Amino acid sequence: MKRMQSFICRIVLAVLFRALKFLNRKDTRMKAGFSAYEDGYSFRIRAGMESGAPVLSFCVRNGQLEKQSHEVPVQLEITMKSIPDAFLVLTGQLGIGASYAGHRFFMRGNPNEAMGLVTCLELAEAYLFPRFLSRRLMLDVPKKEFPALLVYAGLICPGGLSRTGR
Amino acid sequence: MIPEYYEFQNMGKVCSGKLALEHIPYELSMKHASRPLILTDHTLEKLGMLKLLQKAMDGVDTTHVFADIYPDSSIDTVRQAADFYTRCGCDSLVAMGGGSVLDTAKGVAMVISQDGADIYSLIGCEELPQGKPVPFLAVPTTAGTGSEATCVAVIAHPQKDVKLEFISGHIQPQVSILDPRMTQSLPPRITASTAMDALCHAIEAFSCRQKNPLSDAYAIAAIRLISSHLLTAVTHPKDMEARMAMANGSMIAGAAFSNSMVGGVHAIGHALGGVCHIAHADAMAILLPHVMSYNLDVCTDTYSELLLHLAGPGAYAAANAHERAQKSIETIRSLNQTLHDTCDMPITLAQTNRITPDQFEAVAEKALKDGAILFNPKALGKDFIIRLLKEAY
Ligand SMILES: [Fe+2]
Repeated sequence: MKRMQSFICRIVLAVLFRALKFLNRKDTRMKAGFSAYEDGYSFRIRAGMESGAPVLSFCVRNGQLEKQSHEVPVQLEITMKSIPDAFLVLTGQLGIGASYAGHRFFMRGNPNEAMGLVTCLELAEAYLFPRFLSRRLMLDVPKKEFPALLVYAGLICPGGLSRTGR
Repeated sequence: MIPEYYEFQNMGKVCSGKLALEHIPYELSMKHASRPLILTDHTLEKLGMLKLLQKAMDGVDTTHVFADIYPDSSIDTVRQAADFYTRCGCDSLVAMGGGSVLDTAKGVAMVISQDGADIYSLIGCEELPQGKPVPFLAVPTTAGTGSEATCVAVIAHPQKDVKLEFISGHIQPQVSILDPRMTQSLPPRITASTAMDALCHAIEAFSCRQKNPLSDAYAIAAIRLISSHLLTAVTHPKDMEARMAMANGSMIAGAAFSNSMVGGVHAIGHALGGVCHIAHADAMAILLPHVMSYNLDVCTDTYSELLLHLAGPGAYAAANAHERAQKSIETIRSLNQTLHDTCDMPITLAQTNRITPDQFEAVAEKALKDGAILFNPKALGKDFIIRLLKEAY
């Protein structure tokens, strides 16, 4: 069960990064959210405390999001307390705000700097999840600037849509 | 209502009342400590409070004092105090002061318990593992922040111009010493606004998203103590019962919000402090009724029950069921008005003389980046925050 959850979390983290990267180019609020961090600022999301737990590490470089090594220290590292906790959040069963409120993760780095990332993650969820699900996860679902289908297309073909130039 | 999952921690011992200070030597000896570092500030030193504390700590070496602590504690101060602790061979901490002194002491406790690690490397939320035990006693001299009972320290990084937040169950003081002599000389104006900060902690803890049965119990106890003794503490500063009720109310509210967190009042209040330097406690008193009005439609049941704790069973029974929530907000407004008439506590943003309407946008932007906003029971967007600031102006 846990291995299956871990496998799904790994896939969702990969999709999540692609969505964040795509939206950082296309959505004005996502762009504003990440550009508030200094150049080179780096993040890590660990889907559990175990050494083999799925991890996503990335940084903001010249306004773009770039993946980076999981070995390099980062400024903000969020670790879910267990793989089942990560599974709840990454599969849309628990909101990010609720998981913070419910002590489902711990954080290394300045908690004051986490709100920008939380806003960007919620924005990505608003595009990726159907509206009925997003409304269960967030007190206020942010409006989409363009149809979610474009994001899904961007996930499949990340380079293709970037030339539309928005 | 029981949340799907919650956590609650309050491990501190409380020594409250007459001659509480005189119990410090006993508390230290029970922790095998005899050489404390006393942390305080120069104002309290000048007021004779340090002398009072040293006299009460009969039989304990009280020669090691660090008083270079200023408002908005900084990581440089924490580093200096931690160095001083090590140089003097101290074995425990006694922190006497307001929020800034207690937050500095929490920083020092973290550094010492983690074998002298740099304070900046310890920043995080629930990330710090248990370190070497450092006996840590807190003696609050205001009744507002509740810092003596919280697991949070806010310490400034002056070079980066940011406030660093440290959240950990291991930084809560092990003993809180609440002695009436510590708060009896607080002027009425400060007594009023700091008490409103404490009341705000309790009301936000009672109504925010992370509320749970234990934090509710603490919040209700705090609301009852504060609301029934606040005016007496302001008008009769030497009334020991009122002073102790305020000290207890503040500490209990601290334990409540440390576990259930705060909400929109604090998110906007922190932003008002950052952008316009409005004193935290003043911002709390001004914003509380406005944010409650905004939250009213999702907090009707909670605010209805609040009336019982705020105004007592008589007022609760006299109000119609559908009016009770609104009556709670009116009770806060009328309390604010009385405090304004009695001791000139500001109840509008304009009265603080620190903000102009052209700053509302910047305040709203900053409030949206404050973690407390996540715990408000109703989503707060930028437009609503600006509207709320206009109302409060
Ligand atoms: Fe406060």
